[in-house]
Amino acid sequence: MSSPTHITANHDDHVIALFAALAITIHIAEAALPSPLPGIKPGFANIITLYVMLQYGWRTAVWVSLLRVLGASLLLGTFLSPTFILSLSGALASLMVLGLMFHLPRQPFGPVGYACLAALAHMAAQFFSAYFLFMPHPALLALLPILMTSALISGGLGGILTSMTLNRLNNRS
Amino acid sequence: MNKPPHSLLTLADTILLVFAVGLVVSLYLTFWQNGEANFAEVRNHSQQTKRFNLSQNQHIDIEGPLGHSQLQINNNKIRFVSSPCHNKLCVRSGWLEHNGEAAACLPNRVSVRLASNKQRITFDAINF
Repeated sequence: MSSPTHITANHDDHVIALFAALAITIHIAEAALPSPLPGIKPGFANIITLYVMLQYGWRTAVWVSLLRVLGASLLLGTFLSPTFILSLSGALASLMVLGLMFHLPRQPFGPVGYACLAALAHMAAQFFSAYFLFMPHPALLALLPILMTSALISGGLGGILTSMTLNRLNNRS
Repeated sequence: MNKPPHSLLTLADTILLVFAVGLVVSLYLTFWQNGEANFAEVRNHSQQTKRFNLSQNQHIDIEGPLGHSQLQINNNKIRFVSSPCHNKLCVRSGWLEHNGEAAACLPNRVSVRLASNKQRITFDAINF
């Protein structure tokens, strides 16, 4: 067996690569924005995750989201740093919540519902990772309500944008 | 093929949003109202700590390298009344009343920190 194995990219791979690249771009653009409080971010890269899940299914969204976290951390130089761990924990939590919601019978939720709950899960996971791994100080808990409020607002905004994107793309094709 | 446009909120979304807002409100109620400290931990220059119950109004004298620092407990609050230091940062910290608050007189090496039996204070921050 000396001949090299050829791996051919199928349609799914192209979809994943395309959307992961888009999400990484948004993630990095957001990293350049100033933030009023560490932890508050618009989270527009998650719109891509949500859009991909609604169009291509949950498994594809998992790939896109995790590749985004990995790719963006490599480009920003935060790979395996606390930032990366927080980013990963948030992504994993929101993917789990999205997976549970998406696989409910008859899919009762729309983009705004998905985005809000995923954003809350994302923020909660990040917060408690930060709390237990890096800053186990009770004063940090006072930030939790503010952070969760911002997560709910940005999640709602992301959901509305996803819903608008879906409507526009569905009308065009 | 034209799909009918999504309505922005489904019934399930609306219910979820109501619960989510309720959750956030309850977080404010939980985390912005605690901070009930029930004792003060005073530390002197030789790293000895002594606990004082906040429900007992009293004056506390702590001996440091520069002299007496005086603390006062009143109404579940504690403050530095006087300290033989230059900047009086400790005195200007004013009354401490919430769990986790702290004030220190570094020149006289006296510090005070509020804590609660219910909440354990471990580290301020950990860095790798």
